[in-house]
Amino acid sequence: MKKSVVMMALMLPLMLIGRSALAGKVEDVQAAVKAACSKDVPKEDALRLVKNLFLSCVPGDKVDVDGCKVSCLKENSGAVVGQ
Amino acid sequence: MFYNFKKIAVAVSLIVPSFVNAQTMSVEDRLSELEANQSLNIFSFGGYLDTRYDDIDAEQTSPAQSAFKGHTQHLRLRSGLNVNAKISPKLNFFSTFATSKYFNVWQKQNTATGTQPAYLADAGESRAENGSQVYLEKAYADYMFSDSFTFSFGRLPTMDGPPSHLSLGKARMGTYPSIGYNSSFDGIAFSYNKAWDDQSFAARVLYTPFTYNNTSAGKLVGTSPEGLSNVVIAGSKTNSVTPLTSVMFEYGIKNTGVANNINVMAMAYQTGDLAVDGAMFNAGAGAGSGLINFKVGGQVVAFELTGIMGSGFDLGVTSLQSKVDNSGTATIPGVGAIYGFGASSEGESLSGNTTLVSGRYKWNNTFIGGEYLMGGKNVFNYDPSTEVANGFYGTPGTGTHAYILHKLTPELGLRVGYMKQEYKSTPFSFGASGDTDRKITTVYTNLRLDF
Repeated sequence: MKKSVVMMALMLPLMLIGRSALAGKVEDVQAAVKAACSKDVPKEDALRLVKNLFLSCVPGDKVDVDGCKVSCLKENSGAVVGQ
Repeated sequence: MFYNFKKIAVAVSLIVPSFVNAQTMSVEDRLSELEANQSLNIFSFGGYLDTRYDDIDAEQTSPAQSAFKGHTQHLRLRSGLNVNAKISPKLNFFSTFATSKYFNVWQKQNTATGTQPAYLADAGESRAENGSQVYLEKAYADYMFSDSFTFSFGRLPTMDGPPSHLSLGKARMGTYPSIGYNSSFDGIAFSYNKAWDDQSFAARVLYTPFTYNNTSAGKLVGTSPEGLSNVVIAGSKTNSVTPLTSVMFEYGIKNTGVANNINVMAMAYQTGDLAVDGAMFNAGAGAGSGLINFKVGGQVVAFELTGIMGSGFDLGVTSLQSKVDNSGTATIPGVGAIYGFGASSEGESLSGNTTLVSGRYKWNNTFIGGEYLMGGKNVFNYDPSTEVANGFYGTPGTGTHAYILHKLTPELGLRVGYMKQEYKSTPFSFGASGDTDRKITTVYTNLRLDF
């Protein structure tokens, strides 16, 4: 019991520092993979997928994520009036 | 021993929180600063760099009086910088500053009599005191006055519409089907957008009037100000503003058994009277006279299916029906009387239909595609912003286009293509249309970077 208290006290800084600066995009990726593939992606893996799903894909296309097709999350703004 | 451990644990639990607090405050402060800076940065940038080489052979034996046979090469460069701003949750701004040119222009022929041509002026043109102008390809703002309704104003994204993005391996690039009209137009637009589940519906009305003023400065200044009345040509008053109104409906559905995305578009446009002053024509025997007015209307229906049956195959079909109503006559010395677009008599109205079928197959980073155009006679295809040098999409006959595009990176694409055009009638322009056997063959390669 006492040991676990000490361990938690020591882990606290790491838990706080572990907050991602990309919070939001990572969650979007996790939600998209969950919706398309019905599987949970760890934050670390989702972080690696942010570039694939938000930057290098073509809006409207599907991106291959470990054999599963996930819709590109990149916006296509400025192409169609009013959208 | 246990007592000592307990003392150490208590000491650590007292020391660590204060240490942790200092660290977390620092991290939190930094995160807050990051968020604050992010919220202040409303701008995003992008752009394109497009280089293209066209090798073109053209031949016409009929009509005999305008027969030709020739070969030409075009080396062109286009580049644009996108500057967008998310000003507020309800207000966005989009713009593209662009240029397009031939490579290293050796000779630029001056048209004025007695002036000499300029050689390689192009090489120093950016520092040749040519003026302060930049070209606006697009500059408009969207104001969302509710979740569904948007008001847009400025130079609207009315060029490069579907299916022109297919052969570039890109997402949709413009509002209208490109064979309806493919050009930048200034004006205002009201849009209604509704999305539910995997479906979406949009309705748009655009008003992009043409202007015609008899003062180049457009200012009512000076002792005898110009621009107070409408333009008078050949004794007839011509409106300073002529309307061009477009209506468009669009329905889209995603993730169906037929295709990943299905998009259906219907669009109609109509202009008011567009005036052409006969005095602007000179065939070498003196200036012409008279006035021609013409109205243009068109309807376009377009279908686009991407990811058919979950495969890499995409298909687009676009059909344009246009009608031009001419009135008036212009007389040009050395040519005779002309009656408007394609007209052989005064007041003639002409209609035509063009259909474009586009398909492509995506395999890893490579697209193999083709287009087939069935271009009718007397079709008004306004396509000044096209990427092609041969007027392919306005061909009054048949056109075949095959290409292979390989994406070297997601942003950089190398494309090689072949186009063949077989005209059945002369291009739809001022003067009567006739039959022709014109054939144009183009081989091109194009390296395009989008970022």
